[in-house]
Amino acid sequence: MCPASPEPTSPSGTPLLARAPWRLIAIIALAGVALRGLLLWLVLPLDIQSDEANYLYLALANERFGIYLDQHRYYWPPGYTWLMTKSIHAFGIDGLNVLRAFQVSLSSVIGVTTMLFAWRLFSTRAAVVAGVLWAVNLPLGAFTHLLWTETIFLALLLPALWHLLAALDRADAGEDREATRRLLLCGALFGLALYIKEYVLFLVPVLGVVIAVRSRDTGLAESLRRASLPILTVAVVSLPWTLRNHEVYGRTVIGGATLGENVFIGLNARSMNFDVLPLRKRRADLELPQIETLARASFTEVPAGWDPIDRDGNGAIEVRDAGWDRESEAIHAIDRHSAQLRQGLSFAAEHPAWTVRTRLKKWSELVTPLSFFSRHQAMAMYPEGGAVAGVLRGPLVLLALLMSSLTMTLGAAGFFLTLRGGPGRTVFSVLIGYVALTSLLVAMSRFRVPLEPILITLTAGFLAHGLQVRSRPRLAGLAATLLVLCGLWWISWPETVAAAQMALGVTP
Amino acid sequence: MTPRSWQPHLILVGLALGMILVARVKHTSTEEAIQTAFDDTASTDDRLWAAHLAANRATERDPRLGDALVRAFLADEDERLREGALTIDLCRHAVHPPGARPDAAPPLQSAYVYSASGGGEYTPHRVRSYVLFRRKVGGSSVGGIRRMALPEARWFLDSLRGQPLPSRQKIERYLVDQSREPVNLRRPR
Repeated sequence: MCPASPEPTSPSGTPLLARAPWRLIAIIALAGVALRGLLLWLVLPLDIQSDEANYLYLALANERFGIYLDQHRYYWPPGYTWLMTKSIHAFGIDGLNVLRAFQVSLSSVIGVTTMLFAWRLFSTRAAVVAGVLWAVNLPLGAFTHLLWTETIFLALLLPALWHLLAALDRADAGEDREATRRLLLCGALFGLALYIKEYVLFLVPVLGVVIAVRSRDTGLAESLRRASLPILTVAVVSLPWTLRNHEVYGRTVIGGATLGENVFIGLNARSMNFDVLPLRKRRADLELPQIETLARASFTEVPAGWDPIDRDGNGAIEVRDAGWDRESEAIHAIDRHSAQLRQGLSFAAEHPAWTVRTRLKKWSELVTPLSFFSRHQAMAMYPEGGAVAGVLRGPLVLLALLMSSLTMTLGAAGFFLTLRGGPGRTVFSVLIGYVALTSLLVAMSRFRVPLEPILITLTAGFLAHGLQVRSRPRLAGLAATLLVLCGLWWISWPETVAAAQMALGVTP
Repeated sequence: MTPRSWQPHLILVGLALGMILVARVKHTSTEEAIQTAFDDTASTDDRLWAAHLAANRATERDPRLGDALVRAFLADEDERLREGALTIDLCRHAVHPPGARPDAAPPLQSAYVYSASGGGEYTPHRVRSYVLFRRKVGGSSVGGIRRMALPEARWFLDSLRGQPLPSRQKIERYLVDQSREPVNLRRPR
């Protein structure tokens, strides 16, 4: 293996962005965009499903009334609905395809940033490998033609992390003016990301702590100055929406409010796996047993002594029946939050063994090799008679499954054996930890999306340079991670196989 | 700007204070909002926004909003205002008759949407009313049933652009076909 070569640096020792292999990056990014564009062309006309339909409703109502309505159980940030409204206002129903095409173009930002991470942390060779892995990454690529927020969110999150990394580099090199500029950019991008998903709300203060800790040698005032800058910028960028929410609801809501409903789903008696739950209809059509009946009961069965609430009153206990019900007295999601959080935590505390085994299940659902591409294939959402549902179906589903499995295993190897210590390792560790922790509540393959570019970067580093850090703790860390990963895959293996068979069209 | 300057922080704080000041100046009180929502001399935009504020600030169901305001909106000549009564804002304040199921749809809005059928073709207003009421995000207790589907969205947008809608027969056949599939299986989350 070729050692990771240090990239050209400025006199102060920071990598020179101007020396990044821009031509290679641009060529690969264009190729990745072209592949996504081709995929979009192949999957049209594409029906909408699940949250896509909800975004469309909100956009139609926004178009009619000029008002952003909430979703009763959730209160999503308005950014994606706003984009969809603009799109259908200008192009009618074809605006949905225009939005898809916009997402295809915007994915170039994800590709470029992924390659820049690999270049900054490893080498030009790793950047090329990362670019190729990103270009053919179907789990990520599919989100460019799905009407979910993931592509736009990633196109803001990744540059925000990139500027944070650059700021840490510049601050280490004593280039304070440039570090300040990067921290402002980082905060502005995180602030915009909050308009798409409020997911990053708690990540920003955590990253503030990282900045403060890394700046501790500069004195308390300077580390506070640096750490507070992106947080303050996020607050200012998101303030117009926060003030609007305060005017409308009379309460403070930053970004959105989804915690209460997620607690209802995630800390409740029934196990809901959203990579397989939507397959119920198709499995019924195909006369296949429902996937939840195949699941390993030890990780999904309801707590002992569970007193179910038959929520639709039909006398049958079904997948959506609950151990505790939504707070019906509070009339909207924002007021339900705290009550439902209390109920969920209390339910978890009353059933500690259930809580532990179902949290393992959540992590298992986070690292499943499935993706929304395979879910769409399994639901037969792609046009019948088209190449993606026809001749390309098997190869594409296998590629998607392979990419997910490969980036998780080789990404772990890259993290432990190739990535050296430094700000990059710190930022990646924080993001991985944040995704893992938030997924303890509700998890599915879609929640792994923020990590996919990071895993691609780490995989590329490992493929390009192999073993770079020889230390026993690192080897032990990798062995433990792979062991845990295999264990988590084993937990959801029956559902994964059943869903993958449906995606491949080889159901028994 | 000198290195290690606090100038960016000060500018950001200034911007934030400016925005907060503007928000305070433009603030509408809940009582003002309720008055405007009922004021039939106010513009449709103002009444819709006022209803939005009043409905969302309330911490419990308010019969003024769920009954009186819904009746006022539904009786108005302006189609947009009538459609405004069907959104989640006022539906969550619905007043149900005693003994109604907890997930029962808002009765006034249901009656309006379903009694509008009569004879003849689907008018643009009727198509929009159906879509806004029955395809809303939030579940049956606020009138939503089934998620939005592309044909309905297309009709909605066509209705706004004054483009011709499908025949009554075609729309009804579509709606019957849609209703044949079990709700909990047709479009899961």
